[in-house]
Amino acid sequence: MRLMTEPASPAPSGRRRFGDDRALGMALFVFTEVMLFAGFISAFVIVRESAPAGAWPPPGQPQLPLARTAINTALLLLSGVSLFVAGRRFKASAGAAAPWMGAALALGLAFVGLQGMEWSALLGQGLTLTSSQMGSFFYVIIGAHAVHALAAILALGLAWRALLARRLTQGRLTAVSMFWYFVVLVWPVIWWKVYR
Amino acid sequence: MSGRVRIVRAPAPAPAISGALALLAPAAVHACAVCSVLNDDRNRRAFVDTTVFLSLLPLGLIAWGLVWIARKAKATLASEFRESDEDLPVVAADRASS
Repeated sequence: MRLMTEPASPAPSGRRRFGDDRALGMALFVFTEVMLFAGFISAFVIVRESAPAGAWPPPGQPQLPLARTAINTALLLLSGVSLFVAGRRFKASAGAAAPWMGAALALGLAFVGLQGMEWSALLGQGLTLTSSQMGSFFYVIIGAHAVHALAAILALGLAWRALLARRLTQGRLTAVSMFWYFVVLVWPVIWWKVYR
Repeated sequence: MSGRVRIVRAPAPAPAISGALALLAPAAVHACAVCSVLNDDRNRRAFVDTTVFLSLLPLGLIAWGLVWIARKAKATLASEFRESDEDLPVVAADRASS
């Protein structure tokens, strides 16, 4: 029967860390990036809805390939799912996460590659940065997303390399995952608003 | 010179009056530089929707962040108390009676 207790040791002098600094910094960064893309998309919606009925896309400009880009969207979403599974596996064993993270990386690279092919096709059809307001918005918004995707792929690749070398920490994985989830989750919104 | 301060009354505040009028009747004076087609319902709807979206999104993100911090703090404190409880040794004061 436990009747009396007494403190065994003095209170710990060190302060407990509330969370990982990298994850917190990434969360703040993602917050600002969400607002950046929200501003871009809002401006685009205003301009498109200001165009007279039937005048979007502007004359001489191609219709954006909504259906074909659905494949890219699916690849990117799959990449997000793959990274999610990698994160769950990482908690059990670092080695078990490696193939899933590699798959996420490969799917991300496939997305960027297909986007690049699509850009070159659209350029061939006359959609350039200066050809119309639609072209300007398209390349600014999709280009900004592509820059983020490339940066996130680089971060993911470095994290994957660290994982293979058994140097990846949970905090770093969380930060990289946050960045990648942002890239993945903002894309369907862009796709639906800009390509439609 | 008398040395007294001369108070000069300002002329009628024409800019202020016209500004007030513009505020009272923005549609009549086309005060909004970007609302050239505000008669269009689609355009008006887009302005309203994006205003709501851009207003609520940061508030939602901040609220989500605060909830996350609160949950994390609760979990951290709970584990800290649990650990300190585990550190306490049992003093067998009444072992015989148990």
